[in-house]
Amino acid sequence: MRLRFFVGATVSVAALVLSGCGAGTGEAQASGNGVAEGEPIRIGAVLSLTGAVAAFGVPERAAAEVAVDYVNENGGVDGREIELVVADDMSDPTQAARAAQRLITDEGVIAIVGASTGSGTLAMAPVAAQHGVPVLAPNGTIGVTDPREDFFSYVFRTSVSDEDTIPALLERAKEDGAERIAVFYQEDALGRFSAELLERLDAEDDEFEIVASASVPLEATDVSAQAIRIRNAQPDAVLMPLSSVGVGGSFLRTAHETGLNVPMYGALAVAQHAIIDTAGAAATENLVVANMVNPAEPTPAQQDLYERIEAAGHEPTGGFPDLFGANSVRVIAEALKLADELSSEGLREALESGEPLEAWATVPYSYGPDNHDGLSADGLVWTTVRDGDFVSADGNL
Amino acid sequence: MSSLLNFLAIGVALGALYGLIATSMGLIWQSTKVLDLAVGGYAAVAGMVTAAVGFPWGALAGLAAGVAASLVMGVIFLALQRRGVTDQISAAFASIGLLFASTSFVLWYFGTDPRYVEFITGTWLLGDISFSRQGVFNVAVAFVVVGAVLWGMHRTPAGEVLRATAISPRNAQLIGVPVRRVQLSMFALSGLLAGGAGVLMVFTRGMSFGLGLTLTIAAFGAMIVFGVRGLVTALLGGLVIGVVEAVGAGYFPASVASMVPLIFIFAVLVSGRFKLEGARP
Amino acid sequence: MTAQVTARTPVREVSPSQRVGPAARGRALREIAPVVAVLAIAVAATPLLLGSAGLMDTSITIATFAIMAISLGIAYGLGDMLSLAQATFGAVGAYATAIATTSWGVSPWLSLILAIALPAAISYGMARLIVRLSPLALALATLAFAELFELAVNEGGDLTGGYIGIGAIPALPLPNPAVSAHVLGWVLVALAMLVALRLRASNPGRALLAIGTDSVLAKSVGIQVNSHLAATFSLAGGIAGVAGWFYAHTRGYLAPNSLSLDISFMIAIAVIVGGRRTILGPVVGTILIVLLRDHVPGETSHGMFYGAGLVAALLLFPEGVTGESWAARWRRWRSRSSSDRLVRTLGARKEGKA
Repeated sequence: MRLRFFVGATVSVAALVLSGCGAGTGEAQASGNGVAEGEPIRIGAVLSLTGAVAAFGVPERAAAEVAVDYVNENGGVDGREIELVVADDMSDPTQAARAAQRLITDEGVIAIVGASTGSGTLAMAPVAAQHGVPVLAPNGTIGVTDPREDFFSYVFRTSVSDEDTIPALLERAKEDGAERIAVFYQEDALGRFSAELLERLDAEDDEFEIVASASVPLEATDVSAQAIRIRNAQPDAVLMPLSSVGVGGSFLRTAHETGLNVPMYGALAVAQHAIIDTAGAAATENLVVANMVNPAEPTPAQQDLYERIEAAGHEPTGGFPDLFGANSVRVIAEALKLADELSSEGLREALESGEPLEAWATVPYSYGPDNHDGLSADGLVWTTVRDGDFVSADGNL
Repeated sequence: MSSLLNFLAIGVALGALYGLIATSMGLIWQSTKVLDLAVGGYAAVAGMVTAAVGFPWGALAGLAAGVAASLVMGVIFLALQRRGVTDQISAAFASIGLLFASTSFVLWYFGTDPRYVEFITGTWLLGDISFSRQGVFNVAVAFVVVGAVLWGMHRTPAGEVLRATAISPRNAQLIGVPVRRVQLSMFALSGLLAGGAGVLMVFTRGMSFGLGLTLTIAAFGAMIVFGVRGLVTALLGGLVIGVVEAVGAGYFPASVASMVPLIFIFAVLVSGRFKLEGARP
Repeated sequence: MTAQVTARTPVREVSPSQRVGPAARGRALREIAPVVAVLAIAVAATPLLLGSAGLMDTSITIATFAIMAISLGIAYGLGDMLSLAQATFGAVGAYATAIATTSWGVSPWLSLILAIALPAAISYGMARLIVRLSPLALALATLAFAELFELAVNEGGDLTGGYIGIGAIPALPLPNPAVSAHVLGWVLVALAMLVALRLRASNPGRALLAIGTDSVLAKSVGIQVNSHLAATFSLAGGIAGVAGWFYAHTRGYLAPNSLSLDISFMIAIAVIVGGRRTILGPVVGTILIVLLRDHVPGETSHGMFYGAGLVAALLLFPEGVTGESWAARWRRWRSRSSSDRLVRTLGARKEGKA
């Protein structure tokens, strides 16, 4: 009886392996996808449209679609239209990798925009690299453009790296005269990395001191306790490496109500209108946020982008999901215009060529063979809030 | 010391809301032995509707939305009963299905932005301790509401019917009580309580589409703290959970603080104090 | 004469599970049929999948989750223990192999042992704490454990890669990686089904069925209830660890939320919808759920369809899709509608009189 099982199993295994090997094609190391004659250029997007990160994925998608329309209305890429194919990764890295696989092999996209989270991008990157398809990643997570990774050649960052943003926040706080600094961060990759980086800098740098550090889970129901703890430490400034507007807004409001009246420096993700609604106009006057758009003087292109997003029936967030969602598409289009051929490899070489690429940012994007971070902290603009609207920080503080 | 008292004050205000949701869960548990894991979803829906309609009518709209959501669970429960599916796991999974659906509904209809509605602002200072005024209001409402429910259950004829049905639906049916209607009204009442918590939360801290599961877990912890005995213990349990969370958040990094309610739930469950039918002797 | 008979038909001791009469052989063939069917379908599908890497990837995904579902089928179907931590035990196995292969340079085939042993040990320890609880309390305890594990992994620093996770996990050294993964995945599914099958037919398996029917009675006849249940839970944990090992080496990247509570819920729904008491149920359920997740319309409205589908499945298929034969189901529906009519007629007559 037992023998039958073993025999059956072995025979089946042998049959499967034989059928697998016999029918298997050689492992073709794909060198990316191309674009057929007369066909539109297909670009894939893997974004979190549901799940915990939908707050970024949904506006990113809206902005990306608007960017596609913009490119097509302005002559496309050498007369060819571009087309966006969107997949939902459900805030799940496994689904991100599967979606990328499907977009590359079944939909034939020549590049992928995404993912909305760093871990989604890290899950997709090996798949994309294996097939030779570039990924344009709107993430700040540091590992995404690490030169030591095997997939480095294929992943290009369209946001600003946390490694640049956080020291920029710190420098700005110091310039504004802060010596006692408190840190309020959320428990995710951004928050944890920032807290650790700031601790390291604290040990090396005598010009400032971290007097309190409080963290909060992503779906926090209440941040008053953290606000009180920070208030009691009497800091000159608070750094907020956060991406959740709900948490940030709550913190600002509670801090304001309990008498913590110092500048609060926010990372890119916090630059969204929703934080003014959640925190209340009074509390956001203390907010200083780095952004890639000067709300008092957006570039004409940026102004146009926001108008287009509104015309498409979406509410612009005012912050990075719009900008980096749209920029990821725009950078692809601009690079393709420079490319030798309309294909994944052509795109990749064009990106690495170092040519500046115009997009909806304060400065152009620029990559190189060793540098896949298109923007540095130099492009950051400092903003604050007056009368319920974002304005430039300089001249208002 | 004043820090600790501040954290206590925060914890009690937060805990009042957990307690309301825990009472909501406890009501259903007492009357139908169903573990309704969608209660956090009722609160989330109620909060978002309140924000969408705006102050002041939003509060009523939010409560109505909470009741509507809980009635959906009530109908599902009755359908399961009719099908002869009476085990607790199936009912709990049905409520999980409703939690998924309500989270998705909020995301689909209201979008990803968190919402906040200003109601009572400002703080009272007592020495070094600041009491958020909205928080004090929340605690007062929670106690008044739970008190009213208890009074209704124990001092009115309708309440007696509810309790009799909860003790034994079959006996109640034999004496002519419309059991199905009574059970549905329990679900509606539970929706009112959880919805109320959602409305208060959108006034206090704001509400976003993802909070449903977090609130459910906190409410469950609150319900089992003192053993599943009654509504008062559920409310008090909420206060305990709120205080533990606030004090933990005040002194420890969030990663540690988040683990505390979970470790607590695990410990209480393992100790066997959460008494249910079907426990192996 | 007698000596000849003795020589031709030797009498030997047979335990019940080794009876080899023709009736038993027929039964055994019927039992193993699902396993053979699954393997056969996987073989037949291979040429079709070769055309599309996306479909091949879906097959690998289904196989991974099917192994976990079978592990839950053992814990829940045989042992009445609804574990919402199967994906977490999978994550234990996945992290074990990821760390072993990336940090210590161990071969994936060797780290498979660790990927089975570690989750089996942890689940055994947990089981000793929770087997006496009622089904709902046990499920909630596993839920708490799942959340705690994810939080702990986030704190793992350099060992677990913290929030970033572990990348560059080496693939299995096989020719034709994609096809081999598909083949290996379904072989593992078949093996898991065989384990479940053998467990059912064995003495400990019968003990579990006795415990499930009436644990007090089982105890009174000397069955060590808690030991049996804990061992079963541990076996389920080990099988989930195999799924995690397979996941790590086919995906190449592991984040703290790759095999999270969400996945455990999905597995539980798959087992409930597919039928927990049959061997095929968990596999069928997994196929249905993965395909449902991929093809459900809408994005933000996705959860509403998913939730509605779950409620519908609970109402329509309480024993799971494979739990009842369709003939029995049809008979049940017909008899119920006729008895409904009878009850209504009687009720009407009674009211008429009153």
